[in-house]
Amino acid sequence: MKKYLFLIVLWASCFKLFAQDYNASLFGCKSDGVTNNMGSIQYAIDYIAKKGGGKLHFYVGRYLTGTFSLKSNVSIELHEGAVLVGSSNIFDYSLQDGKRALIVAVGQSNIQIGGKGVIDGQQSLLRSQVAALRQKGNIDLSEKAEDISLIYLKASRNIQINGIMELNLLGAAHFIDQCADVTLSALDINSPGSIGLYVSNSKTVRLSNVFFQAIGKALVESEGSQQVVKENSRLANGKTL
Amino acid sequence: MKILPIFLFIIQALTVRLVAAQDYQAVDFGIRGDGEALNTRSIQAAIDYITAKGGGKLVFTPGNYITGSFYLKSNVTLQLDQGANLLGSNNPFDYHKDTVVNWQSMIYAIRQQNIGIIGKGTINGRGFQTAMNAIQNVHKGIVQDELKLDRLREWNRPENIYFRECKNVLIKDITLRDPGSWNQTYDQCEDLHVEGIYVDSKSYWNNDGIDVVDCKNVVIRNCYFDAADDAICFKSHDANAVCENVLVENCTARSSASALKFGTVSRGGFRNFVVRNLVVYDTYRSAITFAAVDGGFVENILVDGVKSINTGNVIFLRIGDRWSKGKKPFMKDITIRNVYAEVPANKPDLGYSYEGPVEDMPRNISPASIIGLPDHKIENVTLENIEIVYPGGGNPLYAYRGTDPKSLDGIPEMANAYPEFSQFKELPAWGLYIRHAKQINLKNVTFRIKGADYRPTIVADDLTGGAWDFKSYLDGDRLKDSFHLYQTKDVKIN
Repeated sequence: MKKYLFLIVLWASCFKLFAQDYNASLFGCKSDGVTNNMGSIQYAIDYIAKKGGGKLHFYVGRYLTGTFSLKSNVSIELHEGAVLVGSSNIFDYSLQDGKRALIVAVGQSNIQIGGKGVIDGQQSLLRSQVAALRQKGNIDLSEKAEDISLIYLKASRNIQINGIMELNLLGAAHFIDQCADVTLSALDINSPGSIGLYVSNSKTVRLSNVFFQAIGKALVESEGSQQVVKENSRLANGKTL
Repeated sequence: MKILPIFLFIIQALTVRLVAAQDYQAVDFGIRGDGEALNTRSIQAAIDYITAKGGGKLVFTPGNYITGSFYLKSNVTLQLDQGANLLGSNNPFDYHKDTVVNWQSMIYAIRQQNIGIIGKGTINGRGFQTAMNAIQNVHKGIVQDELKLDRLREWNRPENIYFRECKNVLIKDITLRDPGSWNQTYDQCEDLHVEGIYVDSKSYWNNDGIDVVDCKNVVIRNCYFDAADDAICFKSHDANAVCENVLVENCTARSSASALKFGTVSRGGFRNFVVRNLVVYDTYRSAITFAAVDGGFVENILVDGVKSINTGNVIFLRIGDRWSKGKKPFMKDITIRNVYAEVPANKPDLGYSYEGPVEDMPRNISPASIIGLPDHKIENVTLENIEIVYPGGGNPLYAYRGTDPKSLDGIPEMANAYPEFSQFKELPAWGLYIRHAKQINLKNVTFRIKGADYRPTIVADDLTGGAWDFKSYLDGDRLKDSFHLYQTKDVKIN
């Protein structure tokens, strides 16, 4: 009996190692919608990655942030009522691999972003800030608000984005390049004028049960992609993707 | 409706006011308004001195007075002059958790009488930073808290005011800001008079406007509430106590939850309320929520005169069964009249600090609702002279609830769920949904939508009795017979 108990404890501790849960508050994240949490969130992801992986939990509240980078085996859970709010300042979106996006993964794997929470891109505020900067000449004119993506995945694999609501985004909600095994499921996207999914040179990208309340273009398939699967996804007018 | 006797009773009860007594200057007790000194003990010493001398006012002249928890005592009134700020310490260890109420607060009064807080000054809990500091104490392992929703439980964060079992309480003219938990709780108090206060309470989770728990003889008048959580909130914590004889008039409320609420904790009951001239705006959930979900009752309530602009839901009446412990809840004899309300398509509290959470999705715009339980029906509700304007645009592809028996029966009862207008997700009507009720009357009620909605205006399920005189319009054009009755009888429709 003791032997089995030992095995159970061993098994449980292994499980714990791979699915350690961390609350955002541990890293000083503030849910006031005003404090920019990007430093805390990035530190949290790096810390969890170093510890062997796990999940960062955001509970109800508004968490303002700029760009942060995902790391392998670190997942993010947005619980119902949690809102990840994109900064309304373009300079909070750092250039990563030539692209500005709120959430970036380059060369990473085994990541889930899930929950019933929301990511809000603050489309109109960000757009007017970029317009003002362009008018004053304080920004390179090649910079366009429309080029800021919500989630930019490059050369990454085994990524799942599930359940969340994505609102008021500027460019593509999901910009996927040279990736494999990416699943977007049960998403509720409400983002007039933007692109739902931009995919290029990728293999096995699955789009299932995604509802587009408002969107400029739901799906842009560039060349070189194989197995872009669309299941039960539709627009507000009833058109199936 | 026994309005007049209630009203006279309240007025009479509150005419015996504080006898003018001696004034004492805070500075004379070493209380410093320098924004640095921690004044907790000197404020307590001053109060103890004044109460022992037979009472009087403790006067705070302009300045920033930092403090932790202290107790107000009989015959003592705090007077905060304009420019005087009573500021909550940001050190969580400067607050005490009272053993009678088992809750944290800056200002307590327990079993005292003839007390008050008056003047144009401010009480500012500075609760957000205190709560942040408290969370780190939990992470350090020196304070225990389960951190539900990644926050300390509300009783482990300080309110601005917590009075329990006090008699003859006056709260007048003050401004209350940014508590760490709810804001001001009056629990089992008698003869409570709250007048002309300004409340800005939206710095942290659970920040309410005012909580009146199991109190008798209450007037709340000429007040302004802007709160992250419920704005004007009546509760019943004790199964053997009742919140009763209450007048709320000429108040304005803004909330990222509900503006006027009975509940959520509703163990005893609520009776004899008059609410008049209430203005509600930019409110995320309901303008009016009456919840009897813990065995308590709601009885003899008049709401007269409500203007509700840019508010997510207008009326939500609900019987549930969370913690009833065998007690039978009921809700009856409610009149809501003279209401004009506009419900927006967008989130009504967008941009406010501590916005209400997006939840219970996917869901099209929710109707006003009167929802009891199969064994506990909501009885005798009259809605009179009411106009509600909705945006319409309900899309069945996004969320669908039909009016066929299977769809209607498929709406869950959710007896032990937290009551919120959105809890049932998609409902089958856009204007009004009634379930498990008796005698629901509509007199001169108008519903308008701006864009088409796939649902009818009204759906009633398991309703017995009522006379309906209502009109429904889509963009100005009359919608004829826009209702659906299911398992319903004895309803006369004009």
